[in-house]
Amino acid sequence: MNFKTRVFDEPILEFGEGGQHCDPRQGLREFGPLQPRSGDVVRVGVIGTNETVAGFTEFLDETARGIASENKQLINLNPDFPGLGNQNPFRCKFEVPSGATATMSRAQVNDIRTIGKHDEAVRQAVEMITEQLTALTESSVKPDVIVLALPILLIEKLVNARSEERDEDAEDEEEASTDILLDFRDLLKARTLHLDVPTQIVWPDTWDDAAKIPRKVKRDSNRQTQAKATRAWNLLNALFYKAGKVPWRLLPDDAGLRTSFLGIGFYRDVDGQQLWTSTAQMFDERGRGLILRGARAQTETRGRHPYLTAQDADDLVTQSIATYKAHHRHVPARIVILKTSRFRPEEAEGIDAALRRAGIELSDLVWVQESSPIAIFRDGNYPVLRGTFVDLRGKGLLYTRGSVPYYGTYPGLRVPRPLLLVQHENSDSAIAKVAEEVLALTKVNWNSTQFDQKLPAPIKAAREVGRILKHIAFGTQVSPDFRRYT
Amino acid sequence: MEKRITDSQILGELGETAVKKIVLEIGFIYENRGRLEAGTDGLIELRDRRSGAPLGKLLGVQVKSTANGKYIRETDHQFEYVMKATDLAYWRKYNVPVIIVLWRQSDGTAYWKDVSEAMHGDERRLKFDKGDDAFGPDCADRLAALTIDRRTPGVYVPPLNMGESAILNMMRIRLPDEIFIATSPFGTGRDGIPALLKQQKTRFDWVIRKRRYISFFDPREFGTRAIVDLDQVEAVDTPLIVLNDELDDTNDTIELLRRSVAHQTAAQIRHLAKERLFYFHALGMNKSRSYRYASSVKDTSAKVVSYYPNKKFPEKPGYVRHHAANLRFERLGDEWFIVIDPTFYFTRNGFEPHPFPGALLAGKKRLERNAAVRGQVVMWQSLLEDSATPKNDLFQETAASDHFLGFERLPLAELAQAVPEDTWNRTDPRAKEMIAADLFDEGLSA
Repeated sequence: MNFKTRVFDEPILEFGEGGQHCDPRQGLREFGPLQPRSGDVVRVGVIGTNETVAGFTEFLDETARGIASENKQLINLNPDFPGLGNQNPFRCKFEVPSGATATMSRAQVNDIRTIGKHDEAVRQAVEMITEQLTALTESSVKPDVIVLALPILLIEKLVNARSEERDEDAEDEEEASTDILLDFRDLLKARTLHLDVPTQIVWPDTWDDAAKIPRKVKRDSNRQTQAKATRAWNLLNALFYKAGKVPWRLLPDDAGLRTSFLGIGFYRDVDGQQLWTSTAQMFDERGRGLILRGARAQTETRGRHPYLTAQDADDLVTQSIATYKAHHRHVPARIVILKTSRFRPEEAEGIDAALRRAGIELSDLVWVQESSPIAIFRDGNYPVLRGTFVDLRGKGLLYTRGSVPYYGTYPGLRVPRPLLLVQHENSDSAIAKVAEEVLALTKVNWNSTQFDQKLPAPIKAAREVGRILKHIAFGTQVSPDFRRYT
Repeated sequence: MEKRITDSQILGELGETAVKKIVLEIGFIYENRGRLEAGTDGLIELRDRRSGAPLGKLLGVQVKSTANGKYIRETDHQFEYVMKATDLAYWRKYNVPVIIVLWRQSDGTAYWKDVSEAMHGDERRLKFDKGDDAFGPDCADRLAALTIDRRTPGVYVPPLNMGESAILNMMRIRLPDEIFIATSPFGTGRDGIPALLKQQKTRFDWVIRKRRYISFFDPREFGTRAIVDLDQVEAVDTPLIVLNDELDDTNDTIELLRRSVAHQTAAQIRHLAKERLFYFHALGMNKSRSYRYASSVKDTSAKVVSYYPNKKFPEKPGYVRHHAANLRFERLGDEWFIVIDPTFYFTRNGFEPHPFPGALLAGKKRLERNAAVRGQVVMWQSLLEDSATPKNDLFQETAASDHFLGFERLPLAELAQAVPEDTWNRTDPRAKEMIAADLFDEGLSA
């Protein structure tokens, strides 16, 4: 019995001046970002205690001087951060202008710490920080992005109280957001979604190797401290992206068709009663760059297996086409819809209707099954290569995590689980092509500069959008700018 | 005096030719150096076999040929070789890495080593391992690794090996030709159970839903006659039910397969309906249990039930770990597969469920690695295969009606590129972390 297999090469990214590389960090170093900043300074606002504001600001200065890698043997996985001088990977400066900081007092922190109930403590902290954020955005400095440098005392209070019963099995615990308790980060992002500036939460262990995050908090949040140089890469990249520019994008396929990728996710509202749909749409911007936008769909579903009605699916796709058209003045040639549950006949029907009305002939409806029980085992200690693909009679098994030749190792620890891609019959492309695209889409995550991400961007983004939107009443206007949600 | 070519000149030429042949077989490019060489016979240029592209990465090669002599301290596994001081001094000046290949005419063996990889404290002495250092197609990635400076960011070579095969964790199920269907006076299986239990020869590998009964055996021959309408029993072609696209039929098929597997494997494993888990049951309180099976290489055994006493408080109860698996049924095209997803089940003493299995499972999963999971999949394969063979021995006698399902061996996936594990074992500081850290497991080698 034979199955067709392939091992896809690591997808190539595009950087400044047409530079190409498979690795975000090396690409940025050699070619600079895809969209350099016009002003050449990213103005960073900082909110924290006196201590954390100083700590973060010092770290930012340190990154400018460059940080040597502590692990020279795996230099591609842990490269030096070259600093912001001559070989500046972002081709711009990062600055905390005077007046762009706001400090929380010891009394404010203590007040929150003395609140017994977790949810109440979170609400009050969000309230306090939202006020400071609002004040900062209205100040004359107008930061491009605001960093929340949380003190450990507050982190302990706000994050510590997570339930013991987190999904133990999840290899990607970051996704296992079975939050029973109110999540501070999500609530804060929700409350400040209307503000005109994205935020970045930073813990003291980012700048201070000696900072002691209580073990329990670390375990619950699955936080692993990376090498200092890597932390600098990830933080500055995230700040750069949130300040309004795109560091890299997938290398566009010249022969390929103009495609819009739509990710559909589902989330439960805070009471856990109703299921709503969150979406993220990704396509190339006219000119250069990439647009990733999140939204909520006008729909609700009940029951264990969430799905859309035909009308809702129709509306969703119609809106998505309209968004694309608003940017390009024409409709996309092809739409790829990625969803984490099976496509029901009524959904396919609704999508089909929308596509036909818009005159779009090519589409792919792909059910992305996240932890497929089907797996491949090679004979050895390392798992199979990232990019390994098996055509299971039309279903596609794809390893987005696995051994990576560029890194010279398997950058994870647990046995990786592949994605199982199942196409609906209303699909035009061969499963291998779709799988190759999904692999490429895993590299569009500007919150990390390590490229072996598990999920394709539209699904990951739709999910992040859902995490925030669950805290916002339906009917409220929400920002489509993905930078606000991440 | 007549012109002469010495035997040793011929031998040298033969050695170089043999090495050139091997290099070409690896898929790399070999070029002889001209007459003006002083210690390297040729240059190897790397080439990506899949695309055919030469990679511009070079290695120098020096071939040393022997007719049939023994090497220094040669055993079946290893030997040593001492380089000339002048050669070494010359190679050190090279701006590309240099390897030495030792070729022996009598047995056609060729071994290789990077000349800078001398023994500690004796820079001219190279130690060869006949297994690791054989010069052949398998050493492509190791050769390639020599050509890059691994301390320069952004530099790497893609895997250049011949590819490898891997197993998929699912076995194709061979179904019987016929399936029995009947109407039932009971709406669901649950309603029918009390009536069934009053009968002799009860069995549970059947499904009743919406008053329809299905099974792979004839219900009239067993206690199941009490839960069907006897005059309605008929045998139909299996594909009519199992390859139908109706959601109900698919669900019934999955349930029937699961129950049939439970029936067929009952001698070794138990099924937990709520956890959807099959597990190796204990044979005694706080007792470990081994399972012997034929893996692909040799007979081996795995400790499938392990008793762990309480280390901190020896007088208090410990826990028991059972090998377990989620067995899922997946239809691909017109075939049904059983997908083996190994996991663990924890009890207090072998029988009572453990009150806090989550932490134990998470701890175990953290330690799990590719090779260990692969080993477990191979073990489950063996168990399932075995369950399809009728037994007729002292301990167990089974009837044909107990073995409806057959299982084909785990399919192989031929991968065009292999993980360059040999190379990474030398270069990757994380290589040790890839080895499963469970010291309590026996065997489990695939």
